Amino acid sequence: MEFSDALFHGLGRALSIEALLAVSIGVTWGIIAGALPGITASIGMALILPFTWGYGADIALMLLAGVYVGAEYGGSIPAILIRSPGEPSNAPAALDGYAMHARGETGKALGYSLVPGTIASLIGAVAMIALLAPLARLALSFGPPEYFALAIFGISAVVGLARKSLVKGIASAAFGLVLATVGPDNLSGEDRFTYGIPGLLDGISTVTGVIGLLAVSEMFAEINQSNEKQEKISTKVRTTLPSVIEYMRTLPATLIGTVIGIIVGVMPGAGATVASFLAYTESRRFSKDGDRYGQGVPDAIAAPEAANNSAVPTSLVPLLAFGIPGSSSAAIMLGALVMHGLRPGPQLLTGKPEFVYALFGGLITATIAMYVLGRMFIKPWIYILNVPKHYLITIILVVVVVGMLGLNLGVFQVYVVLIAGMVGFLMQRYGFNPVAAVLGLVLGALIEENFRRALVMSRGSLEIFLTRPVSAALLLLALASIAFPLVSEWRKNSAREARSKA
Amino acid sequence: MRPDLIVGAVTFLLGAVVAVEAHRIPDSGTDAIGPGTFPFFLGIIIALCGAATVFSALKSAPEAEDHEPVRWGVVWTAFVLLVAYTFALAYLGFPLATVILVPAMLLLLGTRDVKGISVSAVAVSGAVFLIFGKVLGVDLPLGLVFGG
Amino acid sequence: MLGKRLQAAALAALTAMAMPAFAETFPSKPIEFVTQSSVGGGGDVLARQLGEAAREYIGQPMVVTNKPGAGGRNLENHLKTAKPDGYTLVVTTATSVLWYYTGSLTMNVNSELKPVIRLQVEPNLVVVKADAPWKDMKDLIAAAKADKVTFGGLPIGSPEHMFFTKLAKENGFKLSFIAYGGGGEASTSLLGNNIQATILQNSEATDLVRAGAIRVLGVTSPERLTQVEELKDVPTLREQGIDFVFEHWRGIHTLAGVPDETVQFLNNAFQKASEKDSWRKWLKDTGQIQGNLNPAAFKAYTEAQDQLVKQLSTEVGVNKRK
Repeated sequence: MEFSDALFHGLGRALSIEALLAVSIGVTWGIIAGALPGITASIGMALILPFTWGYGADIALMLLAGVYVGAEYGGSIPAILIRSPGEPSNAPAALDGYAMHARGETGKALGYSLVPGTIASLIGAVAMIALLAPLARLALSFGPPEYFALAIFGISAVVGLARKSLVKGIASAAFGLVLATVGPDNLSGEDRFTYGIPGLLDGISTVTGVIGLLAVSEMFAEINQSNEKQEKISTKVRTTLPSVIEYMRTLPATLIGTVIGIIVGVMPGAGATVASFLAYTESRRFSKDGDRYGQGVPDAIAAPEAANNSAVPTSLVPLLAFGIPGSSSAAIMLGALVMHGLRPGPQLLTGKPEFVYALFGGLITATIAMYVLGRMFIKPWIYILNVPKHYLITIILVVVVVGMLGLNLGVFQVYVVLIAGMVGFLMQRYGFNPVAAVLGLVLGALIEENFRRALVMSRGSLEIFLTRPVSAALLLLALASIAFPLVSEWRKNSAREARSKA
Repeated sequence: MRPDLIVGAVTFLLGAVVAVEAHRIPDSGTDAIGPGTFPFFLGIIIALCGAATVFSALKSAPEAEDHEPVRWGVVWTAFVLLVAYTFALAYLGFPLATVILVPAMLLLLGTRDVKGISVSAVAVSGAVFLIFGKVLGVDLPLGLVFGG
Repeated sequence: MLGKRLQAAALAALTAMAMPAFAETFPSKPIEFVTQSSVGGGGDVLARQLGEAAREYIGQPMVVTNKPGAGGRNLENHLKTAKPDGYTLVVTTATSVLWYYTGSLTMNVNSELKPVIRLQVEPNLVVVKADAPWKDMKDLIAAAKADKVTFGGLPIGSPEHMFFTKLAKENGFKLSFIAYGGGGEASTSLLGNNIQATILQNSEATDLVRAGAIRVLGVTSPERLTQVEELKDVPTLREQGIDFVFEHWRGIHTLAGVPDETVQFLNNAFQKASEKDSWRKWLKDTGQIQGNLNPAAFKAYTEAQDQLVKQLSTEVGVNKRK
């Protein structure tokens, strides 16, 4: 089939009544599922998958694409409103988004997640189709040394994140890395730090860590302040959305996030979470408000949300190109295709490309649906969450417990979430950095496993990290990323001393 | 005592424990880096950070480090309540356990509106049970009272 | 009097004994498939397809319960609460046998479950990149001795790891092995030339073979795979002088203690379902190979595999159950 032919046909399928209906249902469900803490995009997709049984492959794809797209946005809603990211990839949005919300600029925060996310999702979908071959090659070229270097680059951002004490920031990140080692060691089969507790046999999942260290800890902080008077912020202020000019100002950050999302999203094993954290830390360098990241800065929401939205279509690239699912959501897609008798992979691309184009069409319509639905629901969300704080805290805690049970990882993970919440609260209290810990947890496996794998490849020599160009480049960037803030801090201090002496 | 002193000491201890435990993880011997190496180094790093914190706490003047005092009683009670709630879920079942937890938590946080408390107890319990349990199919235990 | 009471008791006893004959009323409510795979995974899709195909023969709807994670423990725990009445069926695979020795499964397929039917086999294929210079296992082994090969696959305890370890030991080379979590990580790594050789299951590899991206050096089945177009000329490992036969498979078991008539009923129904054209087409489309076995043959098969795994894992040193 000719490229343009197939494109046309595929898009046409996406615009049929059933397809549009499927996409709308998918996006609605996706936003809801994504918004519920503990229910991730892949769980949302898995829950709805059985319902696609009787319908054609097309419809199933539309539905799932809708869920996937919707969930990545949906997860930012609780991140902003109650500091509980619906998905680990929405964790950065929980930082500045919540701060903005606390100031009363809720509508703006939600807007800074929705619009950049929409732009990124569209660009990502186009990239998926247009750049399928180069992106696939990129995914292949990333071996263990590159993954390691990428993850080191990611964690080097801890230096920039540390606000008061660099030492405590490092300790926090190291703590997160230790948490990542709990559970079975993939490379040797040994169990680490499980102490015979069956609940720990699978380790501490990212969702548990994110929700515990960021959301539940914040709940404890709120509980601590629950005897303070709740100030009334006018609903008008709350529901104001950003203006077009304000959106334009965040465009650079959005684009940075989009590009990072596309590249990192393609890597099997990296995905939306790593992409959004990287987008947060990297956009900070270029943002005018870089210093105020963490206090409620539009760029700090736009970049990570753009990243996790553009990572959605590109995470499907390995699936479409090779039939290899790069993320759990992609795996559900794979399941859906298999269930309907299709085998993704080079065969699908050459033999039945119309499905791929239908998927592309579905992603586009899903993005539009996400924007429309998201926009429609901004005001209602705000009204719903206008309940007095005590009720809100209680409801959230119940939902967190239930949501965690919904992950099907066992009751023990709920205890872990609660303990993590207490730990996060204590960390916050004593000057440590729970965000750095989350970063460590997210990147831990990537760092350790790939370091060890790379050493097997090189038969024990460390040179491999430097002889492979991409890996060397990333490590150099990591070094720069550590040195730069330290050097400029040192310069600032010596300048200050010089001035005070003068 | 300066809080950082204790904090630093605790951190040091934590790092030391991690390192010791990591050292005990058996090595399968197939790779240069065994399963215990990474956590071992992490433990060392944490311990060093802890030591650094202790030193800097000793060096600097005892400033009034603080932010507002923490209402430890309330926070810990909330924690215990939640843990107990999770534990009770299997025995009391979700609906009953939640109907007990919600008022308990609200009272702890300072709510005094009796009507609000009772309404929300039932509403939250019911709504969450319906949405998560029925619509989403989450396995919510009914407990010995309602199910079994 | 005593006589009458005795009669009544005898009548009651006789009726009770006649109850099993009423097994024809099975099934009278929906049947549950429990699987280790999550929604969309291999076992899950198989169960759903089977449920659909067998619906008319069983007469009841069949639901799928997914219990993934914890190395099979979640599945085990769920089975512990089930009654041996035939309404709970387990989707079993070769990993069920494997993990008893190399994983954390405490349930032994042969002693605690009763076979109903085996439905498909998945031979394993030793694969290398299509542009690699090695044409058969001999070439690969020679290259491995010259330290030119990094192997990869699922971690310690997996069939491929055991196989490569054995191969290394018997041929005198040091094994460099990179462990990957499942999914397609190993395939991606192979395609990116970060590892040079791995073992893939038939259904995973077929498309890549068709696309000319990988080459199969040997198959681990007892005979050549003549049913698969692209693989019918590939020699088995046995033919190449390597004594390793291992197949992945999927089938249905039920709990020990389920009456034989019920098992037979289920077997008949599933057998008929698997003879349908729609079933066969699905297998072919997804690169799976039909491999039906009746309960007796199935039992013999799993027992043989149990022995093989036990012996192999002990030899390689990964048997957790000494």
